[in-house]
Amino acid sequence: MTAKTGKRRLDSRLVVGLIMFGIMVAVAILAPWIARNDPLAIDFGTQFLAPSADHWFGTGRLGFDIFARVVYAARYDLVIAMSAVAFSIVIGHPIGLFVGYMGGRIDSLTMRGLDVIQSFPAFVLAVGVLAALGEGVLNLILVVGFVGIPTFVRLVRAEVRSLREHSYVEAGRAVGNSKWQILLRYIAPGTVGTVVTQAAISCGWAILLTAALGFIGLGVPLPEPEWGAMIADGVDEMVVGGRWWISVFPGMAIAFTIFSLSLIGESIADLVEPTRRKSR
Amino acid sequence: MLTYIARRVIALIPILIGVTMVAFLVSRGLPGDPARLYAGMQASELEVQAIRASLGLDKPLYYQYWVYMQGLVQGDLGFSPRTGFPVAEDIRNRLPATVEMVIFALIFALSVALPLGVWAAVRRGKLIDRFSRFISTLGVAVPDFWAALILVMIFFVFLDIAPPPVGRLDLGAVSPDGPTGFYIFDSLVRGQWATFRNALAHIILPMVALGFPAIAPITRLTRNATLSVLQSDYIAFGRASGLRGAPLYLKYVLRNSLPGAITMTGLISGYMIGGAVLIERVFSWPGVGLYAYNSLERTDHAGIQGVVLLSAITYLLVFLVVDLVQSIVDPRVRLK
Repeated sequence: MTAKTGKRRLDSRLVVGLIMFGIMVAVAILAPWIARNDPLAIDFGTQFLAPSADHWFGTGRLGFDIFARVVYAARYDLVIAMSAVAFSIVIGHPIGLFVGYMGGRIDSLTMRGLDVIQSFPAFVLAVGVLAALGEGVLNLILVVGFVGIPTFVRLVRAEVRSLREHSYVEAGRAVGNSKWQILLRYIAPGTVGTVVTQAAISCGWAILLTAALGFIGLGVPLPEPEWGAMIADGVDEMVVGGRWWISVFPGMAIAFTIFSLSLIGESIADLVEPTRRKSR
Repeated sequence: MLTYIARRVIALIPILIGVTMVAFLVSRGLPGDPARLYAGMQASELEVQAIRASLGLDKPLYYQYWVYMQGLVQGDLGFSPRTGFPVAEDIRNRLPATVEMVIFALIFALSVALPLGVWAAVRRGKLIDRFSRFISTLGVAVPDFWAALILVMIFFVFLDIAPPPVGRLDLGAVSPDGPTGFYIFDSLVRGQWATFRNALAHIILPMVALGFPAIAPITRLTRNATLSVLQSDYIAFGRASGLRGAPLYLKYVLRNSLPGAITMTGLISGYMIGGAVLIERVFSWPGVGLYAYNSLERTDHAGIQGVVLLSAITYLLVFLVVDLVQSIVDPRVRLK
């Protein structure tokens, strides 16, 4: 509708969000050119330096350059979060389509299964499963993705159940489309909007979860940089030594990224679902 | 009402069984040999095998689950080699610390979010509305454990007006010997004012850190609920009848936007159980969360599993309570 009338101006939240997120993605891709120092270089000669021209974000216990680590960590956190969300969608979307369309016993059985998974607080479940699987980037992606599956199944299922009753679907049935054609051609496309919206929101949420797991030592193994683990690194230093910079900057990177994603998510939600706008 | 409660409780049973199955499977998937852990590193292979048999680990999985369930219904969550106590006892000793923190965080979040949400709806589109929306988006974006650290940085490291993050009381302070284990309540009941002040000072930062992320969703929900109430006919009628100001907002608007806020509060308190692990780590708060963290650090599987299971059950119970409260506030719920 925006394209047709051309009157509605672009949502400023979407623009700001995309620019912010774009910056973060650029930082991740261009990391070697942005950070002059090696993020893994251990140098006891440069321990605990406050932020300065040489080390913009200061240095940590092992003489790591915090700026370089924040920059390189963007690669880990973004890739893990986006892969995890992709995993949730690849598994969750088809299940949601299928059980929403079929209904009946398979539907209620799936829903009870989701109830069980969602009875665990997401973070606690992730901790338990990850402790069982063991550390590592791949396991991290699988666990963060797994915890996110129920959201997509429920979302898509609800959407399918409402689309199923629409008259254009009825019409499709009347002209002789098979069950599967109806599902894939008539119903599935209608669920893409909500999935995209949720993907942006879930991505921010996945970054939070990844960082939280990293914070308690279940994340990317050291010495590779990851925002959550970097924050954990500075806890004692801040409390005992007053060295605030070790934890502060990685946290700002997380907040920046998630803030951009929730701006994007909210504005897409308004685009996809114009009735939402009225309540604003 | 009674049938409604009964129906809800019965519906919970299969989910509870599913939850225990998941917890059981996760615990069996953990790396490391529990028998070896019990026996110690010096034990011979024969001794380990004897222990394995005595623990029932040589039996088939379904049989092990049966034994596990038998223990569970008697409140047996296993034994922690790390602390030397049964896990259930460990958790029981640490639970009050966590619950006290969560209650304070909830009170904090609600007392900020409810007025802010109503105010934002009433002054829709104005500065306060935009401000509350900005706060909401920010609240989602900031990791709570990081916010906790920032609070420590500002109020302890720089300003030095908050106590150090060393737990529920100053180091060396004697804990109140009250009936509940909630230090603030206990010290108040016993009239131990110094302890009361001390405990209060220590809970403020964790309360804010844990409550802060909850403010965003509760504010948003309250705002939207209030908006739809404000546009309803009976409010128009109330206005036409000359109601205005605080009586209108408090008695009619807030009450009708409550059901949504209650559901959200339930969700949030469930989330806080998980969040507590991180916050307790920052403040060395000796609760269930720190217990989980320490168990994790020392690969104490029994401890981790105990917390995982307990938090799921708590979560389910919180939801049950929320639904029941909901059905009192809004009797239509029962009909569904």
